[in-house]
Amino acid sequence: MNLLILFSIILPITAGLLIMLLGIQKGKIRNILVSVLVIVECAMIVQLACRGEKLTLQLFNLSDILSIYFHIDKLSILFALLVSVLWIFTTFYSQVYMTHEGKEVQFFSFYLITLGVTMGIAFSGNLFTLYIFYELLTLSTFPLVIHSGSREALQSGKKYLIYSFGGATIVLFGMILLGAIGSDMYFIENGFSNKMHFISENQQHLLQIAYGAMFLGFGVKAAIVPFHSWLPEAMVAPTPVSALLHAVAVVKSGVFALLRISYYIFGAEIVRGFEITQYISILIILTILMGSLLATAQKNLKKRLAYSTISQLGYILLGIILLNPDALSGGLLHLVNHAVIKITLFFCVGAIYFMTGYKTMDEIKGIGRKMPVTMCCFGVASISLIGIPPTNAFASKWLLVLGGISENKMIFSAILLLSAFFSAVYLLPILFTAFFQKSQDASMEENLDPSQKMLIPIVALTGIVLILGLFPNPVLGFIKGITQTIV
Amino acid sequence: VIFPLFGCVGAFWPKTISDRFREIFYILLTGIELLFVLAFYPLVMSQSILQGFIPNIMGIGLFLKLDGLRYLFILLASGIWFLTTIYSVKYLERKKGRYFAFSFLTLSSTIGLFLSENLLNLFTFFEIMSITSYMLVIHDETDEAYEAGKLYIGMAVGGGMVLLMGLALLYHYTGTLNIGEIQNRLSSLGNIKYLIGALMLIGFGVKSYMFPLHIWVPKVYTTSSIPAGALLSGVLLKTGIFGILITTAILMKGDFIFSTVVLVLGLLNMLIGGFLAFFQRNLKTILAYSGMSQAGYILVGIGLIGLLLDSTEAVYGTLFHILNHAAFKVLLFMTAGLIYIMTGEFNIYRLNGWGKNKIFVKITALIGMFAMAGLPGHNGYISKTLLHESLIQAHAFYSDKFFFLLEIAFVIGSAFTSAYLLKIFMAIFTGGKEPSKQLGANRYRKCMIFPVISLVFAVLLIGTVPKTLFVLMAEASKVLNVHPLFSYSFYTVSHLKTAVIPILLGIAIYILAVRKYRCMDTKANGAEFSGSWINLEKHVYSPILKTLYVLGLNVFYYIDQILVRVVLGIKHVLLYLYRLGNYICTYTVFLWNRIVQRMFKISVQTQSPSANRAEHQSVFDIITDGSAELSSITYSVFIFAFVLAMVFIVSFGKM
Repeated sequence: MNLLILFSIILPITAGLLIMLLGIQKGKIRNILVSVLVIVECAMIVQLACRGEKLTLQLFNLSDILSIYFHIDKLSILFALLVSVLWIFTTFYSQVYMTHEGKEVQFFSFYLITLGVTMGIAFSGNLFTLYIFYELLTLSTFPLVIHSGSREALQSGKKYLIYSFGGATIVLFGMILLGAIGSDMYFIENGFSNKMHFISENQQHLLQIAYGAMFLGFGVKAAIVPFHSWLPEAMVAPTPVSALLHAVAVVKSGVFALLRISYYIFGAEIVRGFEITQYISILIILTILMGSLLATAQKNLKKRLAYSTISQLGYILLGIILLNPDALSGGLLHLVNHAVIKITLFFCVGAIYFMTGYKTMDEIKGIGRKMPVTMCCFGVASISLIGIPPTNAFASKWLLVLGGISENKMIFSAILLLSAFFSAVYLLPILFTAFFQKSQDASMEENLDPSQKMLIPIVALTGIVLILGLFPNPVLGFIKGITQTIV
Repeated sequence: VIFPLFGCVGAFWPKTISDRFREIFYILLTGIELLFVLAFYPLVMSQSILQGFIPNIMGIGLFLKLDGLRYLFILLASGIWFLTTIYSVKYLERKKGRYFAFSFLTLSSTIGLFLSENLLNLFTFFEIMSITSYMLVIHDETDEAYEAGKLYIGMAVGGGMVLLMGLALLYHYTGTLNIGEIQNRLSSLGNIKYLIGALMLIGFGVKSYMFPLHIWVPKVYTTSSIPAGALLSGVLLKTGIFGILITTAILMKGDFIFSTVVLVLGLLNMLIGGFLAFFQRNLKTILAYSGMSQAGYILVGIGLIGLLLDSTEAVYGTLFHILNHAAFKVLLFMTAGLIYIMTGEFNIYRLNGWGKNKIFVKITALIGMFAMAGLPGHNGYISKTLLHESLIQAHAFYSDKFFFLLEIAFVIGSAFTSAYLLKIFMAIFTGGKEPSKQLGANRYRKCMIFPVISLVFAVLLIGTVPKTLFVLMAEASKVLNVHPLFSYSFYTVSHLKTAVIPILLGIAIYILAVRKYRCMDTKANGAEFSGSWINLEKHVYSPILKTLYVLGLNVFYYIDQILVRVVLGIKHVLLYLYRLGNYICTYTVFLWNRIVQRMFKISVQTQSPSANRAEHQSVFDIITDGSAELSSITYSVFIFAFVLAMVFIVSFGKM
């Protein structure tokens, strides 16, 4: 059973490599293969989730620190389940979408490899393993970002690489410091806080530096403010990639890593003692405000969504850094909610692009009448993202706001709400233009909704958004279970 | 118990069924809804409080409650909705499906809002209502309507966020959001309760046209269609009022400062609304401002409830005015709609004298106006008398000069009301020398008359026999902890006097304004004096917001680019240093040679200038090559910058 962990990581990677090596050109076979694979993957994760106990697996053990070690706890289940479920939807969506972009063999092989690597991140049991997979994630997603091969794509791909590796370097720096202090860097609930009394003053300082370094380092992927500009640039990638990687998998891996270090290496108790959290929280506030404000100024739909992602990630980071149960639950819930909502939004935008070639605000006038189903889904998702009850982001924002207040930092809550207002400002005009403005061309009546294979994932995801909004309790209960043990 | 109310709402998208069937269906639906509400009457009267709790929805469950006060509100909502639906099936011409679908969603959320016991549920319904009513506002699909709709939804969402902040604070400090439970816990809080109260007041104030937040009202009313306007002022306004009522009277338990603030804001509303209404020429805009001033009356009432905790008159006055305002305002809106159908015109000067011979419209309009002005025998009289009475009570109770001023303001506000009503009446129904020719002569449908007549009936009924509603009011007032009132003599001399004085004053104002200043030019093209010099939206909010927005955008744009800029900057500095260094190098070599030459006066073979140039050139070449290669250096610099950041962090950490 323990090997199932390994299997769930290896399987997609080998399959991806296999597709690449064999060069399966035949669309149908490849599609079936990929679909079956992601479903099997998801089934495996569910299987792992159902067992409910803590599984561990040690692969190599060079020294205490340099060992490849996997383990499963609730947090990794949450992340893995989220990723694998969303991967299924994306698979069906991109099978249609990628006919548009070409080079499908390359796409799907790296696509699967990325899935495996993300699972690796989810299941890694110590920092070293996490770090390895984190670097691998950068490498495996790079070909997806530069998929179109245009100059622009290469340019932003380069930026993406530099930012990510730069971040990883800093993480490494932090790891070295940690190693010097004598941590074995295994993920244990509350981490260092368990042995708080054995830490000397000097070590405390070193720990603080290490924490700061790692937060900023992993923060690069989570698009924290000075290190965020790769994210909007990376929107040159094909839409499924943007949707999955840059709204869900990659950025959420950054967030996940931050969760791991904050609560499983250092522990809430000890992080609370760090002064550096104040500076980090200033950065996070800048992230939130900048993202939502700049999103209002973007004409390109995908860029608008990218900036919105930055600000929404800021919410999650805020939930992490506030270090109280409410805020953390809010942050985790928002991690799930934002993933589902943002992927829906991206799919809708992608569908518009796929069917009409429109990319910007000016072009989509009146598109709501031509693509009613798509735009309705977009509407539901954007109302959710704004956080208007009874949709799902409301619950997470409510918890975050409460968390902010109970830390006696009312300003955080106020900023959250201000940003929520801005998210209305950048999302609702899309809807209004789409539904209420007259389009230029006269071909009004034809229905341009994409084919079923593309539409079903969109509609299904919208359904999930609604269900999560009306009945957040199961997910929230699960998340509360996580937060209880670590805060 | 209350579930059918909601259940019947979800499935309203019958697009395929024929028009006639659909119309009947819509009317039946709201009719059934009304019947449902009426069916609760005996239950409410038997003084039992119904509660429904559906767990697991939105995490905290749905907690509904029905008591006398809420019943009054839902009765109002469903009644008005029923009448407006009858009216609008014929009034509207296009896209009825969409209109009614969203109209019913709004109805259900409105009723849900009135029934919510949990404030979070209330907030939920509040937001749903804002979103769905947007569709009603923009139904006409003109550009102005979109503009107004943008403002509407922006203010609604913004207000919602403020409200949410208030609720979050409330939850944090009291640990519950059930209205009944908060009551006792909140009063023990310190000053934080004023912050909470203020946030909630702002949140609800947006919907109740409260003074500095009213800017959307005229815009939206002017551009939205008549049924939407009727619903907005008849029912949706009352949701904000309901929220403020709950905040003031139940949550804050009549805190003195808070109630005074509400009272003063109400009076301001009354004066400003009345004043601005006086200068408008579009019928709908006048109705918008008058809605604002009437909302002011209600706010004054609420403030008085808070101030005089157990004043029956204040409670009754407020509740009566809530009902009355709905009745006469919707009546006036419908009449305006009739006029519009017949003429296609809202501008009162272009309607110049049109209504001289239109008896039906004339009568209904007259009754609506009388009611609004508070002429004895109409329902406005009842509530205004009660409100005035309680204002006097407050004066007696606190015996402060301040209340005397308030009283004067009250009278002036009422005077303005009668002045602008008089203006409408004079313009449309009398006066004009010759009716304009272009006015169309369409007929209105017969079934539109029914709601109008029933509203006229209601207005007169309440006006003459107010006791009919006393039973209902008694139940409602129990919620607010006052003794029910069983008889009250409305027609005493002093009351009549207070009613008549403002009307006379209004007539005086009208005559003065028209005769003396001619500021209401009867010519249709006359320069418009619409008080635009104090347009809050144009002159205050919008510049401030715009400046802030642009400023924020620029600042954040720099933050956005900061890393790239820093890296580029470092690159430039390095380049500059390179050049500088190079320059210094060549120059020193040159100088050195000179010095050597001078010192030793020996003919050292100097480097020929050309050779020097060549060398120079090559160095420069290297630099330019270097700068081309520098992109990779940039990246290393980039990482260097990271390390620099780390150093900062280290130093911070040591501090």
